[in-house]
Amino acid sequence: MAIQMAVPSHGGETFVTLIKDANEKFCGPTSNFLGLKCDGAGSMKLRFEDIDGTAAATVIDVTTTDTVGTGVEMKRVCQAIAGAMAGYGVQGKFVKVADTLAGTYIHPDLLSVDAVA
Amino acid sequence: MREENYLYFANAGGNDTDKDMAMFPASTFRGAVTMSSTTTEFFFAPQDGTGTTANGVLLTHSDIASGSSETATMVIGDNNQHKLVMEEFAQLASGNRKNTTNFTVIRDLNTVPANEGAISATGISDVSAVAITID
Repeated sequence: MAIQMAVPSHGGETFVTLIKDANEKFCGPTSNFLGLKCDGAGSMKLRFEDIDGTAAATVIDVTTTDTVGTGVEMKRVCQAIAGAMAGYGVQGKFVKVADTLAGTYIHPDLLSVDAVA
Repeated sequence: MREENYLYFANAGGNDTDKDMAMFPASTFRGAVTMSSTTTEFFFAPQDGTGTTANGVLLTHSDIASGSSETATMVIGDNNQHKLVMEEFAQLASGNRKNTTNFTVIRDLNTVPANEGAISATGISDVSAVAITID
């Protein structure tokens, strides 16, 4: 008789997806989100607990608009990401934050996913 | 599952250089330590995933002996800037607040637009400088 493996439950949790291209994509539970930081003008790094069992985080580089000079565009993207992680009523609990392949993003100031590592 | 609260910090650099800004889940907060009479550092679980060396956000405020610029009545009195900033942080970071978004500005020292809700929020006015340490 086959024995079903125990799988960690993320019941009721929001999952977020970020897609760079056909070969670099990320999907993970928001409880694995470690935080994000500004990495330079118009550049942010999002980090999630790694999913391959190693200690190092999964790092996702994204580009944001940077024209006003006060960093408000990056702040707006942060707010949108925080909102996305709460789960949208329409999209449910699986939220696509950014898809560079399809050109769709949760905020117009979020321009691209540059790396998933 | 409990809804997370995300805490936003930014110095006055306009989000133009590394670590001008950071956002942490409130659940990763490890604690706060007084570093001098004018600074308090708030520590979070490291974003690099190692779980070892904490990330820190050093907040500069007026000297412990001076009064508060906040108008709200503080239970702890107005002559202890460390406790004042810690209490204000705790109030903002608390996940028990109703009718608020889950994006919380602890301190943003940049010029912000008016009338845009959380985007217009500048956070704790007692804090005059923000220094973020993320390995």
